[in-house]
Amino acid sequence: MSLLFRAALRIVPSTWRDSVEEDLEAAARRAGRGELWRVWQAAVLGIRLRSAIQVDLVTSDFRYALRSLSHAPSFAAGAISTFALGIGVNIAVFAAVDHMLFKPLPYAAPSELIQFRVCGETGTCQGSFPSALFVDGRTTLTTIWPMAIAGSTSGYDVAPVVPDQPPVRLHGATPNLLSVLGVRPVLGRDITPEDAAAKANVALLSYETWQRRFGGTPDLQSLRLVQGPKTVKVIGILPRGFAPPSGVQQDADWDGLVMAGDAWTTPRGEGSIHPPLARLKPGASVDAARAEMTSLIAARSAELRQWNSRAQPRIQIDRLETSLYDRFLKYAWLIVGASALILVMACVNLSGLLLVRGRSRQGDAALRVALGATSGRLILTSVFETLVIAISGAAIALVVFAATSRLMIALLPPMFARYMADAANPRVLWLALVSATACAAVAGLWPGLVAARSDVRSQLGGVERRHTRVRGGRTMLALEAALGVVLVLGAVLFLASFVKLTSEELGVRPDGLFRVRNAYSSVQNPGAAGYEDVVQALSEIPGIAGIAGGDSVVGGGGVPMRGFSSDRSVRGGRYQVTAGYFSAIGNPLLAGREFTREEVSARAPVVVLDRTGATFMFPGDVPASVVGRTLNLPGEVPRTIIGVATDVRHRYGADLTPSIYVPLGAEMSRYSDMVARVDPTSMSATELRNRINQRLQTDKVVVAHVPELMEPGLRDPRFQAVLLGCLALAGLLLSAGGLYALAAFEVALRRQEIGVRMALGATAAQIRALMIRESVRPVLVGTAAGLLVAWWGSSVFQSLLYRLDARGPEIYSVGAVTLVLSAVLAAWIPARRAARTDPAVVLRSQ
Amino acid sequence: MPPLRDQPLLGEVELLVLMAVLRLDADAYAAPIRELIEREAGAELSRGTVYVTLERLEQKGYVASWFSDPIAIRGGKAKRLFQLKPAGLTALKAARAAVDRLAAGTLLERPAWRKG
Repeated sequence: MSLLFRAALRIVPSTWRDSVEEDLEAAARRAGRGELWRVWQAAVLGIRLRSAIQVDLVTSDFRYALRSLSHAPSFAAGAISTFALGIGVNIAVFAAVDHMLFKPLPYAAPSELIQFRVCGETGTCQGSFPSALFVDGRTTLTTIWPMAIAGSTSGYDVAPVVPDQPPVRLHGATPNLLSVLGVRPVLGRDITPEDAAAKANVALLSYETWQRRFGGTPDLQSLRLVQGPKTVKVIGILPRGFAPPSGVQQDADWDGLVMAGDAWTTPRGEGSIHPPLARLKPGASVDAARAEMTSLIAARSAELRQWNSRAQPRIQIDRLETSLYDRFLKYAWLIVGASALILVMACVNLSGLLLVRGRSRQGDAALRVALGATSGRLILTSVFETLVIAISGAAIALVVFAATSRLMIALLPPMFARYMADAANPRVLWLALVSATACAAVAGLWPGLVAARSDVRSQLGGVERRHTRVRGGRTMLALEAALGVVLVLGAVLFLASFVKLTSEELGVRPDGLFRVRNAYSSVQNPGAAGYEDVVQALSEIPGIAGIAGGDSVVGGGGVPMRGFSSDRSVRGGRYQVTAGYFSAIGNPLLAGREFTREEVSARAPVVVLDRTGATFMFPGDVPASVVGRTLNLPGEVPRTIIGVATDVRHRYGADLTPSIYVPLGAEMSRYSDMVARVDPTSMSATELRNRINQRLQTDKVVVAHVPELMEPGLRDPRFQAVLLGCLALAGLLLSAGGLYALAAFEVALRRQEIGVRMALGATAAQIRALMIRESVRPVLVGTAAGLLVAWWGSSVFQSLLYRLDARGPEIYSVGAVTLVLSAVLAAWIPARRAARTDPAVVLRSQ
Repeated sequence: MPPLRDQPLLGEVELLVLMAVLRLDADAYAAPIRELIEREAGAELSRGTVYVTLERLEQKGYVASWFSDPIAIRGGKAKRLFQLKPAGLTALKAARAAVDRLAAGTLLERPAWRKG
């Protein structure tokens, strides 16, 4: 008989063991079954018989756990809320990142899908792709099925048009998009090659939009969408929960797909399209596709140089799931890691609480041992107790999550919020159940082992050995401190990074600054003279403190670039601006002055440099000494420098490039905008817009408050900082709570010792110091260990931080001090109680 | 006839196992019980089901079990043998009676083709 079979037989209750063994061996001989079959059968039989026999024992254990918890309501409340916090954090995080990290993409065989992108050396990828490669690639690449594209959102109205209805936002898609993704419409049909050949205006709606806007009508024939003179027929409904890659990636919501094939297939090298995706043919690898693409790039190098302003674009090919989420993956994992730490801390905390409780119930445990309970039973009792706590905690967490998920969706960045799972999602329920059970098993094991080792004779024989420490308590404290300091460090790092990001000089005072833009860019180009007249006319509107025109001033859009060095390897901005531009945006000039109206009208050969530009062109000179010199740039007339401006960041965290500002020339560019400075308390954006439109007798001008334009750049960093801050706070609470419980209990155990010490002359201050010292020592050890771990792992965070050293000593000191201070505070209360011990009372009671 | 309402009804599997124990008499242990049910009743029960049912029946007091002497080979095992207790017999009779009473006057009791 093999060892394995013998081991499996141990599962079978002893009263059945021989019968089962004989039965299985005979059956195996008869039917020619192998060893594995016997082992499996024995294990299954063992488990079934045990659960049949021990069903009473299990229910009695449950009853016991419930009873003992109901006798200690404050302990139960503390333990359950600790656990609810731990599980709740994990449920919320899992619900938010599940679609990104764990669930496969909602397409057929998603691992075969790849995306082509143009990426820089630093790993940042562009949203555009040379259309030449797309057109050529469709016919020449043999490792993939023809590429598809989804992108460029545009708004359509529902026919008949009702005013003030939100538009239906459709993403343009090549006709083959759905077949590449392996998705079929749930109603109606896909776009056919005939549609493509006829350039038909056809669209597919998302299931959700179809339900919400059209009440799920089965009559698709009647649905028409219009955009100006164009009418689009709805031919199908996409499956529930489907989103095209472009819909997953973009922040805005989307309502469906519209066929837009022909616009992207013009074979001109300079055209840009959205990054295409494709499905690998059977047996083809990503590497093979990469090699093919490389040779294609070599063949079209001339057009591509033109496309990417002289440089060869770097094409990166990734699996679709990587390319969709790569911007978020790191910090999604960071959040998962942090929330897992919270759960581990909750487990450790619960374990500590149970140890404390077990210490006070040693007599109980000893009695059970004396009555014949095996150590397995005692451990099981402890695990059952934690199980009751954990399941209650998980239930509370689920209820709270269900109640607050709307709020969370509002607070989370769209990438996490849009596909967030709700509390009724089976995967979320499973996670709650599995993590609660696993934690209960882990957290209950140690206290159970300690209880099982309780010394019956000393407990029941009256010769009580005086333990004044909770066994294992110190280790728990150290462990919690180590986990806590990692969390606190993470929070401090991200908070510091966020503060750095927002406190950096923008070169623009965003409050009260509005971007004024013509809604239709074709009308935006009235010629420089007209433009100046417009600025002049608008400056007379009451309430406008300053107005000026300039290229792509703030809050997005393209930036006009030019070469700064003769080989054009260093590139920077070249902005055309009108008089009063710098005062309007609130840029403090470092030296010199800005353009006068005369200089702008005369297109005088003058220039304002920014600080980076000044430093680049005249290294080592202070701004004041640069003014008055002549600037010679390739392809530019010699210009006299009349001022040096503070560097402008067009968005938070933007890199600084050398820039020049020149008087608004005759060659108006597509980047031109206007900015207006207004007292934001006296005039709203709508009011400003109305006044400008009224003045210009048009309705085409739109205005946007610059802080709102810059806001999206802060969303992710702010979210990271707030989230890690919350997690760290939870971690601090847990570790402080655990320390408090343990310290308070030890004070109670050591009352006699303290009484003796005080009778012998110890002062209250000395007792307090003693108690705090002893509680905080394991925290110090744990903190040191946690700092080491954080140091070792900090390189992972580095890329998520904004110009901040993840190993900066000041960050580490702040983290360590915060944790130790919270520990001292938590130990202070019980220590004070200890110091108030009256020696006379204690000694008399002996 | 024993009143039914005092007697918890037997489950189908319980009924089969009890009958098998009754039939096998001195040889009633798990393996032959299972074989008998398969052969005579055509019901293929898993081992676990038979063992767990026997365990339950013993807990309910319908059968008693004891260990036989180890069989006379080297390393021979002691079988766990079962025997019907009076309560088990009562339960069997009650179950049988319940079926009979329900079947009275139906096709089951008097098949149509034997009529006349």
